[in-house]
Amino acid sequence: MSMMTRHTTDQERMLYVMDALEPDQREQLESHLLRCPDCHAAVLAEARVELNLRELCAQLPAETVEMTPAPQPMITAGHPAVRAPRRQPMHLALWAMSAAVLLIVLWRAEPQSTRQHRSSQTRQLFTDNPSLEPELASRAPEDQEEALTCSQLAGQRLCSADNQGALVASAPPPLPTSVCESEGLATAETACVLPASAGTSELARTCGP
Amino acid sequence: MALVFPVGAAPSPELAGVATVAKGLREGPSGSPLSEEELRSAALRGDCASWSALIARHNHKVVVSLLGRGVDLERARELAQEAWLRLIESQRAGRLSELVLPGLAIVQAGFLSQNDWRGRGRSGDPAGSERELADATCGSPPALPEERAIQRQRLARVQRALAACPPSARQVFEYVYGHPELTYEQVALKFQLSAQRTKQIVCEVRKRLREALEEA
Repeated sequence: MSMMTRHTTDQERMLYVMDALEPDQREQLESHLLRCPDCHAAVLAEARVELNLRELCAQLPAETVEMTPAPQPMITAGHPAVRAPRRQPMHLALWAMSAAVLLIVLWRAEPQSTRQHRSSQTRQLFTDNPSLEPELASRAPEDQEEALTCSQLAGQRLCSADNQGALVASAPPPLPTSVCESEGLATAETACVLPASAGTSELARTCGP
Repeated sequence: MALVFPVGAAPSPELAGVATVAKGLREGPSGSPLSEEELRSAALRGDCASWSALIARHNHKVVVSLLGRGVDLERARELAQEAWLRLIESQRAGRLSELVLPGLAIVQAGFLSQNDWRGRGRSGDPAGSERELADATCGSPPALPEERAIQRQRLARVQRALAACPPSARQVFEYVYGHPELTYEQVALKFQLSAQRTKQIVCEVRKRLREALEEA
């Protein structure tokens, strides 16, 4: 431990009585105080202020810190401990919103021909299976329907009811396994039928038992 | 809470080894330092290592409280040590049901310093003794109406100065001074600041309050 060869500063004395010095700094300062009456007297005065402040603070109205969340840090913009916890929820929300918008834009921007192609592929699934045809017919005229695979829509299940074609909100019963097998679809693969112009929601169907 | 300490009686010598200030805090089974709550519970059960950890954590505050009463550093250290010994003795005698630190140790040290003054007052000069009495009772509630009025004025000045500080700084300061059992690191964690920044904030607010206190 090195000896302190100068007088203590106001700041050091304040930190000392606040118990804000590191242990080795405190030991150095105390060894100096034992040899320096001036600094010793100054520390006694500072300690008296500290005692008064603690006493007065105890009489202040009850704080509200316990009930409220931690305040915004003052000058800590670059502090990593502050950044991460505060920005993470915003990131998640932004990412979710961006992904949703992107998916809708991509789907709308997709050429009609591609949609038609996919539609015909999916429609094939139903037209080759007569048991499904009445269901399709009851929802919309054959020539107004569009179908596309939901894998393109990244698992989204939310549908709007306009003719932009979106997905249904609730999943209908899965397709019979035999149908899926005959069409070469894997289990849990989803087929989605979307209306081209009708104002009704349509169905998404999953292969499975 | 039982706090009945005969101030004249010396603690038993067997406790002397317990109150040696530990360099580090005790660690729990997971390797992380035990919380204040866990340490206090263990100390109330008589765990010596927990007492040492609590002394290491709070002893300086006890010393500063004695310095604030005008006790010189060397004597303040002795009295602080004595105060801890009394608390440990009291716990062993089953007279402690609750351990509020550092308040309990500070109160105990205050009793000891007053007793110190009385011992010297009987043999010293009256003028010096009067001044020392004022120092020794510093922190006690003011007895006279004039003193109470002065105290109210000081409190109002401190409140005004505190209200003029930025709200976030005020919250940090109030939290530090409202929870003397917490370390700066613990407060920093709560406010998502660094310990260094927390100390800076408290220093800045404290300077303003000190100025307010020194107003004529």
